[in-house]
Amino acid sequence: MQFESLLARRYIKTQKRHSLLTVCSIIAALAMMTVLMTCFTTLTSCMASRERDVRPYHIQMIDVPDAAVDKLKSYSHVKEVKVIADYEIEDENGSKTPVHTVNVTLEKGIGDIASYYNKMCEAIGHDDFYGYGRVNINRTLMDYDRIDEDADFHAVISYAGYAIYLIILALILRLVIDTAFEVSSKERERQFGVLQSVGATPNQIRGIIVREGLLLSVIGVPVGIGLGLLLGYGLFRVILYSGIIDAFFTSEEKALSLLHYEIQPVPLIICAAVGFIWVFLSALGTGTRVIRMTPIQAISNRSNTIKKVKKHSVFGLLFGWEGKLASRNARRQPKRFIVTVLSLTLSIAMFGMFSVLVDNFTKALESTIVVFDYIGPMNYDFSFARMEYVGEPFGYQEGYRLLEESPVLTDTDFYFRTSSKTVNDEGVQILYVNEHAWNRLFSADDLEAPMTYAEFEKAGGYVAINGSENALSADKQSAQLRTRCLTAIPEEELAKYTEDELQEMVENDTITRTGGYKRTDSVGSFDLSDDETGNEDIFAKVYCNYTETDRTVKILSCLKSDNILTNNMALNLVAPVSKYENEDQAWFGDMGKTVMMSTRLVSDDDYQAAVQFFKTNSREFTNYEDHFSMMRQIRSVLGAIKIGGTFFIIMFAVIAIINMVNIVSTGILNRKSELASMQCVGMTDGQLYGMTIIECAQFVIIACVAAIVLCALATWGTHVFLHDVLTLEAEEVVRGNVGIFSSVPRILLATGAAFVAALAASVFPLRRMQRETLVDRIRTVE
Amino acid sequence: MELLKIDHLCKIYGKGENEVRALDDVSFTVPKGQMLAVIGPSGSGKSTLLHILGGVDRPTSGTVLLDGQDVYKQNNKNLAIFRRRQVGLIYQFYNLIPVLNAEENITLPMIMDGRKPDQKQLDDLLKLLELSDRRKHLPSQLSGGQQQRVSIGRALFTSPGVILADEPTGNLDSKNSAEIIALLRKSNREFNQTMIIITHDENIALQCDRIISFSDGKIVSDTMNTPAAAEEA
Repeated sequence: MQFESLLARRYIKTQKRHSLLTVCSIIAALAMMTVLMTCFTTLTSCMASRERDVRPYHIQMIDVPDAAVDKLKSYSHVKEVKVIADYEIEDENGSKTPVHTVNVTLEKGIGDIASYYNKMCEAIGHDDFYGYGRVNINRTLMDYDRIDEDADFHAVISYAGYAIYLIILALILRLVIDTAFEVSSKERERQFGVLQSVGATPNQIRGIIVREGLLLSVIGVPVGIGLGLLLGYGLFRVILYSGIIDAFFTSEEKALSLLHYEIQPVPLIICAAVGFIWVFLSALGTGTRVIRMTPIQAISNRSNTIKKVKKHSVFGLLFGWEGKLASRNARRQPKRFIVTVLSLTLSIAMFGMFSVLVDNFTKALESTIVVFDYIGPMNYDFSFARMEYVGEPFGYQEGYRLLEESPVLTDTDFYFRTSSKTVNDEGVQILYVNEHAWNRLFSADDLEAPMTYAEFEKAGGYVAINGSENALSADKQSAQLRTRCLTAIPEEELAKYTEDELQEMVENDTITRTGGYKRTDSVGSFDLSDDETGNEDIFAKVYCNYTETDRTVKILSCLKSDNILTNNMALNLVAPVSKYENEDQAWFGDMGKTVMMSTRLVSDDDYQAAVQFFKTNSREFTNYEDHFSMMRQIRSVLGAIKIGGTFFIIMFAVIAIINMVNIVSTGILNRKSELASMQCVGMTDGQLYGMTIIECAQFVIIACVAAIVLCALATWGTHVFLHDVLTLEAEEVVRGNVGIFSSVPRILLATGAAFVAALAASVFPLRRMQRETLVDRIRTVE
Repeated sequence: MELLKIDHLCKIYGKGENEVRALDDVSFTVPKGQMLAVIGPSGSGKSTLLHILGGVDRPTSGTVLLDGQDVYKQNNKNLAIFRRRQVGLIYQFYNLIPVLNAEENITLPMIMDGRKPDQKQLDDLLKLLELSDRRKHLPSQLSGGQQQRVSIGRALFTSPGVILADEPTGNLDSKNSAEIIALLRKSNREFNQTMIIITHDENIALQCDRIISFSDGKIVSDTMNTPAAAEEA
């Protein structure tokens, strides 16, 4: 056996503590890298699975005739054509053609999707397809499956971002491995000096350290990767069951069939290679540093001579001579001191900041979603519309009654609005509200209800909120409205005119035209992931005769509110719904109205029952917005981010603590003789422990203060960011809940934990050292 | 008047077959102001004796009385205070604290005692040690002789009952050695400071008032000396 290998093995065996710390550093670094690698591949795979489940096609085409389907199947790069719906379409002559909705799956290498698709349409005889809403290209799945050239570009961008992140992380981890090697070799500089003095060449010395590193990495790298895989799997399971399944999937079985912990060999090989290379480079660097010294420098330990110390320090002022000594001791190796404090600061700051920032953004998101409502803060679980259908009497009562009677829903509020004008041609919108909506209108801080809903109903007038004051009388007690009453022209009457004639009548203001919804089978037959509103097929043009009437209406109160989304200068009038039913209904006739309804779950557990209720009664409601589910998904994603983030912070903290333990404990053991000297000239055990505790405290106190500053800056940055990108309400919600120093308790907690670790790292070696006699220790050559 | 009384002192390392008697029933007394040299071959027990006298190591049996006080009847804390106040230790390799400058190293025992160093006393001592212009220098910035002078200053500064020097010139050249011994002699005479010096160097021993010779942990000779004659010689 070569003497380098022999010595490397001996050093590993005899210097168990160092070997263990070095292996731990390698394991921690590799585990973290492996977790990150597998997390990325797992996340990508899960997102692709989810996409494949929800939208299982690269291209979806509707109205595809039989012949085109056959041509599609044989078209270049088409992997599969799946017919998912069969129906007929009628042409202008009334003849029917059977057509299909098809899901097309492609193979890689199609080039540019636009030109590919155009050519495909030409080939199948459907050259008017593109851009007419009859095609749905699943860009996301194309990216995951790397179908077109854009996907390659997106993948490069995505991997490049990830690679930059990994490189930064890898460099941090390199520092950890480096520190471990440096600490270990520092203690043996004298031995290396002796070896050189008896004839070992510099290359042999370097060879010993490199072999030692590689031997340790033979244990550290596979264990680190194994640990990383286990931790990654644990993290995957924890995130999976943190609400993701409930939020995104209909059942656990479905989720588990789609989501898998993805272990790919290439990332693991990269991890192992990076691990070995880092260890090799660290060992080589350390070896090179050692052989730069002359043997006598190494033997006399001259590389450790202290040439400069700080005369005054904060710790000296605070803790007296023990503090002064502790401060000088900690800065004997400034590079290591800075690295340790920096890594500790980052892990404490990340711990403190992360949860605060997630809370910040959760609240901001919630509040941002809340403000998207017409009449006030939207704090309901579901909101939807009951549309007016052509040919049916306007009736919100039926839908409202259903909601009121549903055992799983509560607090239903609704309002509907009509558009009108004043006699001066100013725009007017009238909102008819029920009691819940009335109360919601005044739930914002800046608007106080002028009266109760009962008094409102009794008073028999309108409340004006925002809008142009020109629409009101000088005393603001009344408004002059010019209401328009519409009466739909029956179809048989309309049949007498051509489309051009009708258009001309509209332009001449003889008749008017409004919109309405046709009852078809598809209307309202949505599921929770669909939003079919606005579909041209269900929207009808309705021609109406009209009469205009000037009316003076009573204004009960004029209010202003920043919380109401009134983007136009139209006057907003609010009236109780009973006023519409009893009086105003006759003013408007068949004019289009949309009833907006909002409701809450009686209990969160009833979500599925509520979903079932909406499905069962889907003909009564449309334009469905599932705030509950949306918020649950947001919370669940944020929760997963929280769990994942916390995990990485813990990993980061472990690395920082390993670093600190390494440095603190080695610092104590390296100064064995020096500490004994102090005891020889009268230092008591209490003073010795006191000085050591202050030394540990320095690391954590500096890191704590720096972390508080970092967190305060980050929170302030968040506020600035929110101010720029979010609404005023969202920002105020955040400001109201997350102060600049909100993270301080968490930081103090993390600091406490780091202090305990540092204390253990110093007190244990100190106690062990104390077992040796002063004489033995003082004879130790440093 | 005897300052130090060593009575039937034994120090045994190891057990059974490995037992080593570093000190074997050693008894002697040292009067105040005496400069005593302890000589003997390596492993004869000289350094063990010095460490036990300095409160750094504990004897297996026997007593050490300093000013009538039994050193080893004290607990660890009081033993540390004893080292701080009543003895001054000087080592061959100086054992200075690398992060403290010359002045701070000298005053360390007093600072640890919670006392404020007397500036005049410090200035006088630095002058005596010829370190006035090196007072703010770190050990790494001092020569070996200067470092040893700092170490002597640290031992002298608290005016302890006894100074114990373990091969104080062992790491120095002849010029520096002569200066250090002269310094020790001077402080012995000027301050009537009791000193016990362990040395291999016969010339140093001859400059002391008394020479005790050790072999295998036992005193083999104890002779009085006239240092003036040696100095003249």
